[in-house]
Amino acid sequence: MILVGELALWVALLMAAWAATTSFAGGALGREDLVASGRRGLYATTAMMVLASIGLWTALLTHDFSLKYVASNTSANMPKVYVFAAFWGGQAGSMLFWGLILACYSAIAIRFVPLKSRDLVPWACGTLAVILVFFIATVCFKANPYDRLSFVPADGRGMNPQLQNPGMAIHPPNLYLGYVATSIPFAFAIAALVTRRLDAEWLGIVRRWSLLSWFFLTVGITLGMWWAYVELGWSGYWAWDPVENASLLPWLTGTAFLHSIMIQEKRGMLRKWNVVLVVTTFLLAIFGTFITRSGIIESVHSFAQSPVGSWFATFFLTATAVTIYFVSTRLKDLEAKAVLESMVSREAAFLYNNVVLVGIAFSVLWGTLFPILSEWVRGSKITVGPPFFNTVNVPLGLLLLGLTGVGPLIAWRKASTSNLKRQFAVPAATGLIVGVVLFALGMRDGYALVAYTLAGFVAATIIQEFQKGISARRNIHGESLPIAVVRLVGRNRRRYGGYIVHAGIVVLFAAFAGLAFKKDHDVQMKAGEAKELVDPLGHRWRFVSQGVSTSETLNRFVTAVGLEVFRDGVPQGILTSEKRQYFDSNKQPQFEPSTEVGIRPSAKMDLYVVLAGVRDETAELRISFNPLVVWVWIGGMIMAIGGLIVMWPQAERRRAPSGYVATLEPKRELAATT
Amino acid sequence: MLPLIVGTLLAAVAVAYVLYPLLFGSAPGPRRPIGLPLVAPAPDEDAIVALREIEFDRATGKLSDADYTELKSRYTARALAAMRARGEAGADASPEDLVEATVLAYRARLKSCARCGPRPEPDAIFCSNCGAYLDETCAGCGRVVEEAGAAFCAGCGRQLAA
Amino acid sequence: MRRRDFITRSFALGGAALVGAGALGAQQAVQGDTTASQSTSNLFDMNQGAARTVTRPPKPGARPSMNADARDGLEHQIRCQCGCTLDVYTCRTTDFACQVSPAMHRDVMALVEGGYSAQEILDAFVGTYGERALMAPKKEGFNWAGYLVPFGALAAGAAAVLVVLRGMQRGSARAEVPVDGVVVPPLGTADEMAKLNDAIRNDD
Repeated sequence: MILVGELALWVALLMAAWAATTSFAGGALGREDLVASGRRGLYATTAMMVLASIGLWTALLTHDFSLKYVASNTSANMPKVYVFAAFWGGQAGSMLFWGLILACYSAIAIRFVPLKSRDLVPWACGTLAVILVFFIATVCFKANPYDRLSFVPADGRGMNPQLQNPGMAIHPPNLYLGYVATSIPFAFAIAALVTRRLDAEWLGIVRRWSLLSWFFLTVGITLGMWWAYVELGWSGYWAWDPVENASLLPWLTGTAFLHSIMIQEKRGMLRKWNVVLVVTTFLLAIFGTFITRSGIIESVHSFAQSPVGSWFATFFLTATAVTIYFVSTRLKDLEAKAVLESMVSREAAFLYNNVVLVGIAFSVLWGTLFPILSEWVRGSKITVGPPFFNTVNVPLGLLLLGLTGVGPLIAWRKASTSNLKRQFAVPAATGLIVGVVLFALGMRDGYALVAYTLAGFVAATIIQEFQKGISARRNIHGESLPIAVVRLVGRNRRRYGGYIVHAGIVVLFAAFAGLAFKKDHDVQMKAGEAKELVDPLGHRWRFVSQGVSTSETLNRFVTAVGLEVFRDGVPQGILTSEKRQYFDSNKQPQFEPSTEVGIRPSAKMDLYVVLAGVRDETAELRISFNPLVVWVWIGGMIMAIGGLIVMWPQAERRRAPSGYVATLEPKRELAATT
Repeated sequence: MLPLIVGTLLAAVAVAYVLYPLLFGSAPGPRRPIGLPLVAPAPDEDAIVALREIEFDRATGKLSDADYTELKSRYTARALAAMRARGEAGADASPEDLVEATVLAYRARLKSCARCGPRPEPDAIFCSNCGAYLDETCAGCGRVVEEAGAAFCAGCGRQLAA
Repeated sequence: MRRRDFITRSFALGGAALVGAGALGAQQAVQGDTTASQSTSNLFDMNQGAARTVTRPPKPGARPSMNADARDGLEHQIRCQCGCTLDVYTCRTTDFACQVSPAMHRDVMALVEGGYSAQEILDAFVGTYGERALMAPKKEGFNWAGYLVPFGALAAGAAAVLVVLRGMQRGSARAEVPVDGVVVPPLGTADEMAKLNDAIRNDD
């Protein structure tokens, strides 16, 4: 099976090249048979990639250490689930995994193209095949997981224990699923540009895949934050690391696209802009991978200087050039048809939202690349760390939060003053009340106050939208309350699923703002010693050290400290933090010592204890009070649920892609101009 | 030796699979010209869904009164046209009749030039052959409405669909 | 056990497995090394020799210039040089084995005891390590570009959108038709309208 997998990889490369050639030729010459052959080439590529992946999994699970990849990423004593996950744990395997997802996505997308978009197939298929050729070639020539060692080691090097965590096992594949899904909209955008069929029909495909990508990126990013928080012991979940930024970039532009696409559906506007967003999202995903793989920017995540960097750079530049060529030559076909009636309209609000989302994406990209730029310009190396990103992005983020509440309230085309008053009164008042109450309670952090005021406003917006929607349904359709609630969401999945995503955003921002009140203490404690600390909410905490214990298990030394915890005199149990030093069968230490954080989560505040070191029987500890952190995970989950509701397929009968189309009646336009 | 056999086998299967359409595919038929819209004819259900959404959006403050009036008229007209087309085909329509009805509904959206005959483009404003303004005929008396954007029929005074 | 020791050792283990077998050429030996670190990440590829001393003679009659909280805040602005990408405070309170951040911490404490202000301490660290010692670039000179360009770009984007919107707006000279109340004239017979309304109302 391993042999089959190895060979299948090369056949896959051949098939992808074939698919690209015949699809493009078929498209250009209009020959159905060539197109059909290209499509089959794509399916064959997928089948071969599946075989190649099964081969690698077989090698991993049977511990075939003659493969370099297996030997350097797994060991015989690892739990099966992490052996399985080691598939994407290393450079070569993750590239193969990427290719596998892309192949499967492509086959599904091409197989289920709606009849009306058939003309796009040859070009989309060809574009996808080209991307596949690139990835498979990278795997074959630069990062081949089937490379063999000239001898068979007795055991492999194993996997870093910090990566042996459920969050780490599922967070990268989620991100890959998200990244790769941006390829499909890109391919169809290119196809639409080539054929000049830029009308709404390709939007359906593009929207579905963009949503899928958005969903997986959301889940992947949230899981990544959770992993960093529980496993790394920094008592934070987001460090503005280049690789984190790289996952945020396509998420931001993808989110912008999912908003502006609605304007194109309803009004036929923003067609150029939407195409640009679709291709930008893909290019940013590739760029993010380039950052991760090339080691060009210093990052904790980066796979050390690796040979695939230059390949990615070449691919990225080529893709960008091709895209720019097609977009610029097709600008005329993208001319918008509709006109804007008012600056105060939902269309305009969506545009502002797009500006802010893309602005944040730009500022994140800018900050990520600024060290390189600075080194060019001034020759000195600088660090662009969290303080920089917070300075720049917190105001932008708050602006975005505000727009999250404004957009849904404004009417299409032109919002009248009375409409605005009616819609904004309650939410604005709610937000102000929240702000004033918090100020009265003694909150003095400016950004936090603004954040909670806006969060109150947006939350009230969402509730008002639901309430109005429910009462409208009850009036129009005469439904009972429970039915109205269910049908409100069920019949307008996109709108109300979207509001649920907004609710998740509100929860997230509220949780982020909680960080302003985070408190860290570093303490030294001997056995039996007690320390009292006051948390940001004014509770008195008392910690009594149970002393440092060391133990040795099968494959690690453990240094642990236990703290007996009291809050306001009430015992809260014992919280333990550990350092683990893994060793191999010769008792040689392996990897860095890893941290087991002691976390006592609660809705208001996490208690977070890290054993930083031991000196002369004295434990050096960091005790942090992290307010509202659980709400980050909850917010992420709410967003994912909202995304699922939006994605859930409508029953065929119900599928009216966008209901009515709010363009002007052509005749009236004519009457006005003649 | 084994790799050679396995590799050849894999490659042979894959190549046979992709070459099949080239070798045994039906002769390439006449190519459908790119650009002809393949929109499925809109049944009245689509218009009714749109009307539901219009009502709902107005009730939740997403549509101004002016837009509501305009959109409501437009989609009501569309729904009625579709209902009538279906009604002509008979209530308990057989599949053939349904096909007939959808063709009719599609045709109903096509406009006709007085000089050059029916136009292939749905919702056309000008004749694609001679460039004349494609007016509509009054549903009541059949008189050709010549003035662009007229609200009432000059022949019988009947209100025209917006 | 110092981290560098066992990093070297584990590299030797992986590297030796690949290189020492002798079957691979010199070029592949390099590749073997990168593979060894690829498998994890350079989180573990750290430089424990990076600490340099930053000392200044204490100011005459010096008293500590700040309390522990302020000092921790200051350490959040200084970057640990071990390659962890963390700040000194976070690194020294997280990492069991890092030798660099405690050394830098000792320097900070000495400077605080010596009566140096926060800015002077930051300057001293920049003097020794270069600007890389700061978690975020100082707001001066070219670095302003770093801080201001994002806002400039957003403003430019907003302005561009406004201009585009204005242009689109000018395109529509449609006079807003005032509507008195909402009257949608019936477009079909009463029977048809009733049927249609039923269809709209019934959303099953």
